[in-house]
Amino acid sequence: MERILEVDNLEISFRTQLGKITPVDGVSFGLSRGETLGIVGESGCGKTITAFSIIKLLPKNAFLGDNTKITFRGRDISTLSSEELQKIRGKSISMVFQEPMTSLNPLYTIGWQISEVYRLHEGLDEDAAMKRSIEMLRLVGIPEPQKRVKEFPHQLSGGMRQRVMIAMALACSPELLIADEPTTALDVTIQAQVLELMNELKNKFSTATIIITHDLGVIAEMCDRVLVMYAGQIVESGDIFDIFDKPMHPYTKGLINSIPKIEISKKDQKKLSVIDGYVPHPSSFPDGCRFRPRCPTAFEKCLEKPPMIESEGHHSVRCWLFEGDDM
Amino acid sequence: MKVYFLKRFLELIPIFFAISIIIFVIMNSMPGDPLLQMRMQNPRVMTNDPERMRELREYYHLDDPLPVKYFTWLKSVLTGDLGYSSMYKSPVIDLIASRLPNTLVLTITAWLIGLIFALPIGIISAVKKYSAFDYTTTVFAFIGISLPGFWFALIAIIIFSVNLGWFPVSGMATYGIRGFWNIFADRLRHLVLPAFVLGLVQVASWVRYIRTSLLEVLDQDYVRTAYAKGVPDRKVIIKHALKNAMIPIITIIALDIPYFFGGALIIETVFSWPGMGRLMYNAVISSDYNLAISCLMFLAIITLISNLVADFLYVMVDPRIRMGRKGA
Repeated sequence: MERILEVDNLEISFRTQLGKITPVDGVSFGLSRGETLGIVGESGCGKTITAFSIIKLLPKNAFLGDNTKITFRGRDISTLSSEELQKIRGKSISMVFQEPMTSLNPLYTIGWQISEVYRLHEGLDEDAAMKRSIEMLRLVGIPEPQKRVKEFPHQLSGGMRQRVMIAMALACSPELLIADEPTTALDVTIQAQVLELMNELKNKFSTATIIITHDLGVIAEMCDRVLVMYAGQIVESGDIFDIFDKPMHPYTKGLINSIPKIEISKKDQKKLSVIDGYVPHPSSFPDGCRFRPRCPTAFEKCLEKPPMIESEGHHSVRCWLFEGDDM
Repeated sequence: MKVYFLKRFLELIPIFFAISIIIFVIMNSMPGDPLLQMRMQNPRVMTNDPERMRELREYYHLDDPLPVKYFTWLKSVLTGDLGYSSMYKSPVIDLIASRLPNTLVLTITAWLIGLIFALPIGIISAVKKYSAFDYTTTVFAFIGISLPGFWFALIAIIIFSVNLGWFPVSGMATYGIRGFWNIFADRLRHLVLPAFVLGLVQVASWVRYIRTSLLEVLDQDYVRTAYAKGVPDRKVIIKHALKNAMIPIITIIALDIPYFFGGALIIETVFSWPGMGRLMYNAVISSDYNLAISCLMFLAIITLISNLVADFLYVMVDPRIRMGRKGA
């Protein structure tokens, strides 16, 4: 399949009052047309800034490492001028954000906000852009779209707003959609609807998708491949069956074990297992394996930096336990 | 919407009467006797005869209880009679009618100058946060906020009128000029210094408000959404960020209108500008009761109107308020 995105050795650093910190380093992955990649990890793992770096939405004090290369359809993103970037954003690569409540501009109607994409990228006039926006709203399952386009974000529920965000992101049928925790802020029932909608639409437009989440349920629902991130590094990557059926990294196992299961009968109920401790701050990542202080199976070797060890197929893991399994 | 504004407008009426009572009571508690004042101003026509003094007191209702005095005053004010100025020897209403346009020209020009300078400076220093430009404006803003307007006025006169000779030192017009355009140019030359001083004094604080407000909005998620949509930077700032940032700014800029009239009091005095400010200053200095009360009431009305304007403007900008109050 055609590769549309190649992220090579991504290193993101920030100039801060604590000096230079590097919350993401050595992250590499690629994406083919129509493929869905999940990036999973706890808050503070660097998932979101990894995603933002792809369309250069990082804060001003952030900068990429010298060996970092992000290639989108053969073009190096870092060499693009801001005009060229503006042509890609919203047209070839779009984003859906975590907070539908605050991600829409409160002073403009949703119709105006969706049609802005058409006016910018397809040069449509206001009427034509508005017509396309109504179609798009119908596509994302908003009832009475002709009426709704005239409404302001505050008149819509969270789920509806996220549908509007999705409509806006998919307006120009982008090749790559980046969804940053698209369902985290929504009610459970609405989450399922939104996920189903995204699944349906990404198949319809054959959009490659990156989904960032801390929710393994979302990953299971949506993704072909998964990257598990911890403390700014990929600790395990593989296709979805590898990750769920044969998790290797202790962190991945920990994440899977911390999914609550609904058990009604008393004898099946047991205490939810948790990963002790917190994700370290980027200014104080531990030496060697970064998961070592929280790892139940850590040993002396873990004081050294573990490399990415490839297991069978495309399943790889950053853990000394699997040294020698290398194939 | 209409109902909302009607309600807001009706609310102003009791506030207006409350203010009128306060002003009336304060003015009447001022030390001094109007008759003595009149005699000082014109000793020849006034007698010292106690009987004649008593008659005069009665004639002017000076010994009436305060509430009675208030209602007598209110009745005449509401019928358009603001009384007679003991100092200018002319009806107060005529004085105000002749001075008000001058003050309006000065304050409106100053207000516009303030906006024209404050908006771009505030926007640039927010967008280019921590740049040399931002630091420079911050320093000047603090100097501007800390130093009094009359000092600026005097410095401006020394530099631009006395040393450079670009603008007249004071007054509003030169006598003996003919022709519409010549008169217009002459008025403009007189207007430049006082309007700039009055306007620029306000710029300092407005720049800070605009900067803060815009910075807050630039951090919002919907601004990031706009960038992610591929909206060009300029449009993101003007269409997406600035419109939101304007909501608090509008309130401040409209509510500051009365300060321009207050500031005009000093600036008009420094530049001998024949406006309301000087009228008010002279009225208070020479205990001209009717004139002083009328001027103070005028300031109160300006304040109330500015409030209403601020309300109106941000309802226009913000659909959340507009919709929320639709049924109200």
